Amino acid sequence: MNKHSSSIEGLSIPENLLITPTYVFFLIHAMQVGVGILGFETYIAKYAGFDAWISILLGGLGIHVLLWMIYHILQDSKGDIVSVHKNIFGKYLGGFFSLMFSLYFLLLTLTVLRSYIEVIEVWIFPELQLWLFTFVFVLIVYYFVKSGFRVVTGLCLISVILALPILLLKFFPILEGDVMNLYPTVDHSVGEILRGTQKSVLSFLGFELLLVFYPFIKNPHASKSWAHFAVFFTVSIYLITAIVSFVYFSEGQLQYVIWGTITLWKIVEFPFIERFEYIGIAMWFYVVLPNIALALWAASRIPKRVLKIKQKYVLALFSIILIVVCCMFTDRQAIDKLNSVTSKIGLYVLLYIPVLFVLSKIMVKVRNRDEA
Amino acid sequence: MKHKWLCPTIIASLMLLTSCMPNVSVEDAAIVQIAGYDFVNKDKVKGTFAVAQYTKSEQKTSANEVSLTTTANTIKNVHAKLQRQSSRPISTGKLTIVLYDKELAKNDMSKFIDSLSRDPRIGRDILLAIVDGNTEKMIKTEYKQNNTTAAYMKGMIEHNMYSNFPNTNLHNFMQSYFGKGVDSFLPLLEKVNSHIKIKGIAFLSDGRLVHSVPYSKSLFFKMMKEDVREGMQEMNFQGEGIMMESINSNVDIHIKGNTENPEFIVKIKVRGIINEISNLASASTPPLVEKMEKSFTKFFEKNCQALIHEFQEQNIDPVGFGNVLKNRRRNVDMKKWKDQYPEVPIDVKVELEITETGISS
Repeated sequence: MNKHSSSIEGLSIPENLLITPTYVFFLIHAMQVGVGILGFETYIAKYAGFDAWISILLGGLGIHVLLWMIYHILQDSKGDIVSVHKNIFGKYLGGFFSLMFSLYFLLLTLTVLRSYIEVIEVWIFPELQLWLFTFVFVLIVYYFVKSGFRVVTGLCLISVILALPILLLKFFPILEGDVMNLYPTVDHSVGEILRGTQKSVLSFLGFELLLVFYPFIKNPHASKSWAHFAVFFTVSIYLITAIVSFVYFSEGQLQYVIWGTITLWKIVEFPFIERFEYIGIAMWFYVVLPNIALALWAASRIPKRVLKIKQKYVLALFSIILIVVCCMFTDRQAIDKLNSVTSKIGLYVLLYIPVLFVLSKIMVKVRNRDEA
Repeated sequence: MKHKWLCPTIIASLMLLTSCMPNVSVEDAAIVQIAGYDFVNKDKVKGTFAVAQYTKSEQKTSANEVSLTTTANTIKNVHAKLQRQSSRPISTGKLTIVLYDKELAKNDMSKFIDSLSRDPRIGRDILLAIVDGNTEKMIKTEYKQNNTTAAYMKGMIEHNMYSNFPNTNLHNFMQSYFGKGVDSFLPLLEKVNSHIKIKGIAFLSDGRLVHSVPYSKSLFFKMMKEDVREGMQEMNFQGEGIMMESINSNVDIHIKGNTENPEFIVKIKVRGIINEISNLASASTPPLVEKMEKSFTKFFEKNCQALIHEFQEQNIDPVGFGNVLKNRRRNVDMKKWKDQYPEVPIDVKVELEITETGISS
């Protein structure tokens, strides 16, 4: 191993492209809250019943630990996932692993995009021209990603601010609900609650994008608390959403509901709008947009770093792949399958982080010994 | 700005996007507000839709209803067949009330409920009701009270929910229909000459109508089921009828005993005003008010008790004792509970207070 300290492949980004640490909050939060929150209640309640709120808390705790690990991994390498992989596995194997990550982010993009379009198809326009809508959607995303990371960050900021007022609408279902549904607490076995935890962790996916955009943070150390705050905020929002759903639906009823949160919106009624779900789904476009843009940015950035080709070519290729593959999923079963495959892969990615953490700690030890 | 063309392209594409959806303006759609289903035989159902017609006449609030009827074997087929009779596309997004006739409800309502819960166009605050009689006739009759029959029925049921009638809408219904340890109920309507009235409450078990009680008992049910805000109840007192108004009550169900042998105590706190005391000398002296309180307490306890016995005899649990048990005790065997329910001791305790007796002494 090379003994120069420069063997740690650092990565310096021009300062005018950096973001302040505060924005890490919006990046992580916007990436974590996506299309999954519209229907995660049914999945987590399948195993843990209405005790699933405990699963969410446990899952959130796990995410905090993983985030702490990611920060350690990145601080040790002073770069992004590509440099981490290169340091640990060498050029070729490391590059291969990095490209796998790129494909994973592309899969994430595809899943979010297709799930959101499915919501539009089912709830608003059953006669939607799938390819046309996908094309325009991806074109908008392309436009944002093309403009660079700072624009995507701004998009995240807008999305978080726009989506927050929607939370206030939980007031309506609470009026109709029955808090007694939540009792008795902890009626399920530890195993069932842990299975629910596994499902709930998947709804928090997205924070691992930090592995890619870390070098863009101006003062990475200061961003730590913002990142943890973002995860905490996400967990709180998921917790509130789940509890409101459990109060509103009876346990048997929830199993018949596919999109719990959208069905909740159905009860919202204002004098000027009788059916809020149409507004809600339209507003959700702004939540989904940065989600897709950020994941696509990350997916196209990795090949740039590994293969040293221009990001815009990768981006164009990935956009075309997105449109084509998106149109190949035509029915509910296929989309459900896509979602479960993505969450399975997501789970492996989460399990991979501790492995990476241990390896990178060993690397540091070895390097220090060599240098001593 | 290397790509000046990109932004205009996107905006232009968005313009195109609006035109790839078939659009129908409000005037050109047949907006269904009431749907009624009648039993024909086991596989056939007769559907009647009332479509509001907003005409362009001089009077501002000119709306009348046109109704369409057809017979088919599935609900969606009723819908499809009615499309053929209508000059404009039928849209069900504004549906406010769905009626089922008694015969149909006795058979099986599950496919109707499934159709309502599956359709994204249907709101969750629409009303369902069971009609004693023919729904087609009820929809086709013109009523004087409101412009449209839909507004009439909706208004009638909704204002009664403030007083004596328990809260009901599609969501509440599905909550108990899919829920465990609780059975659902719906309003029971009846057409009397040229108007409609709420006849009582219809109780269902697994989507089948099994029992009904008259409207006079609905306050007792509401008191046990939820909090009452503006109830009204008459009682016989010393040979005269007295009326209690503005009844405000809170309910709390307690469980005694273990999971296997539970005992229920329904505690109801009632406050109200006496506003009609006919022919009673020395109307509002404290001892008399106390006597009234006592006999009202007994009256409510007796009637609630009787209603619970009625439920237990029919083996229906609209109050949701099973749900309460499930929520308060661990590891409840719901199958066992179902057999146990008719025999379970349930006690009703009423705490009653008469706060005012009107403005004359």
